[in-house]
Amino acid sequence: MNRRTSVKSRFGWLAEFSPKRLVPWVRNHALVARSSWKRLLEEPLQTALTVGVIAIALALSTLLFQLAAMGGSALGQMNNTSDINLYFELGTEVRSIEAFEDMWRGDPRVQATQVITPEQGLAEFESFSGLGSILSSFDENPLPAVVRITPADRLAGRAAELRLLVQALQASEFVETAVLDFAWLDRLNAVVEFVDRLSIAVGLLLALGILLILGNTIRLTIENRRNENVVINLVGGTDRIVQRPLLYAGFWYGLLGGAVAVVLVAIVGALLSYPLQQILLSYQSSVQTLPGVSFPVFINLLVLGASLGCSGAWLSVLQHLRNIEPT
Amino acid sequence: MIRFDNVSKSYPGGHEALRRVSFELPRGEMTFLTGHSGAGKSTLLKLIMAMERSSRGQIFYDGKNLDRLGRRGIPYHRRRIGVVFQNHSLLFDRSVFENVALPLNIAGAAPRETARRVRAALDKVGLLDKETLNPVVLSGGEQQRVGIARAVVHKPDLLLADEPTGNLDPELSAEIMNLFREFNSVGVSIMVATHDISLVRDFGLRQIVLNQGRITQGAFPNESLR
Ligand SMILES: Nc1ncnc2c1ncn2[C@@H]1O[C@H](COP(=O)(O)OP(=O)(O)O)[C@@H](O)[C@H]1O
Ligand SMILES: [Mg+2]
Repeated sequence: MNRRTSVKSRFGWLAEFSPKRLVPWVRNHALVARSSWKRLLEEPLQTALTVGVIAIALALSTLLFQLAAMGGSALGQMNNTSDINLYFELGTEVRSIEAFEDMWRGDPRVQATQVITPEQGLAEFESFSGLGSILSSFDENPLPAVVRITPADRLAGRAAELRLLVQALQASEFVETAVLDFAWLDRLNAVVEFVDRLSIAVGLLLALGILLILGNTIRLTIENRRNENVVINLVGGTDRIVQRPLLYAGFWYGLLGGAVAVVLVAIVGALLSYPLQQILLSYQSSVQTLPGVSFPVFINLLVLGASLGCSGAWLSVLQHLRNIEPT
Repeated sequence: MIRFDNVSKSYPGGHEALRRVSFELPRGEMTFLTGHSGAGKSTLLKLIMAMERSSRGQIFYDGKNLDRLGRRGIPYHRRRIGVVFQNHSLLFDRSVFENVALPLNIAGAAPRETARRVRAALDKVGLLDKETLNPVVLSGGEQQRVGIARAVVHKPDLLLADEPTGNLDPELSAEIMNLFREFNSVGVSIMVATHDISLVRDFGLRQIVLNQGRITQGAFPNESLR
């Protein structure tokens, strides 16, 4: 006999999902979802304040994330364009240079190689600077042969590996110097890394802020509804039934906050898009992902808002809803 | 339907509100619970509702020991009982209809069934024409009747009332009592706690008398057996 009762009590919660209880359960959810929505609208000021704070926090962290992502992808492209220039010793034979090129072309760290012979270099220099006459006064072409190495995509932004590659190239026979502007890259990398981490930290702080704001709003709601909760308890409401309207309130606050955040992100994104495009153009970057609202962003904001709303309400319920037993 | 077996209740602080109380309440009966203020009437009703736990002794509801009722079981136990408690009155942020519908909404009744039963209950207490009003605009007697409608709307087996005529004049009190009698006549067991002895005398119903937490009269329905 003990076996039966213990099995029953251990899996008693399953009874909540039996058809006999499922229909009333669904009905109660529908009823509560609607009534808590109505209640939110009955207190427009309180609702607007809470929703506004949630929306601003969500929009801020979204924009920051998007800017960081944009910076990252712009940097990726700039790294790609930062080739390594190898200046060969004067008088190195063309054969040696071609052999060198063949050897490195197969290296997984190298995407492309390009030989610029002294003659090509001279022509380029003349057309570029208009100072051809100075050089033509030399008996011999004073320019070294140059091999331009484009690092593989996967090295983009990885300063340490790039550095190793440059060292290896530098160590090759006939190579006089290998040039890559590390300082510039390092600095840019550091900035992007910083913005990246900043966006995560700020995102976490803002999420915490949302939880606190919602927790406080729900706490006030619990205090306002003390009498109601006691009556519900008295006529046979389970803990869950008492909690449900509060969780739904959190859900609606969060969902509304997410929806308003979508609008905010769209507006700010539109305002930023022109100046950002100018900046990117000046760096010859072709980054497409400007801050703004895409379909995934839209869905993410709603889901994020709603789940933060539910969690905030849940935390508050755990903390403040102990003492509702009628006396 | 209800059996108290040597039940004592001490509140934190040591005050003993009920002392070795034993009685039996037969199904379908209407019983008065009387005694001076502080005699332990409300405490006794709260024990039946599992709002308080007995310190000693056992309480049986339909043969089931209330002590064995887990935290999860309590709400379902309460759904079988209707209560009219003075200090847990109506909610003034919603209509009369919504107040009365509360126990049905909690039980998840179908909307149509809810409306039908709420109107039947309001009809019983003579307030069908007030369903859309906020209870705030009703008189004390009308509010009490809304409370009674809420207590019976889900067809409980047992109706508990704590000083239901507390601040009503004698005429309204008699009206409320007649309502209870009507419910009783259709088979609802009823227990009314009151310190108003005149009410009890007028109705000539069975009564249990409490004095300082002890039963002094009427513990068992067939007293000649004891
Ligand atoms: N929650 C409580 N804590 C401590 N003492 C209480 C509590 N409730 C009631 N009492 C005491 O228990 C006794 C019986 O109270 P109660 O059952 O309310 O009596 P009645 O309803 O007959 O007036 C009183 O002396 C009262 O002060
Ligand atoms: Mg009392």
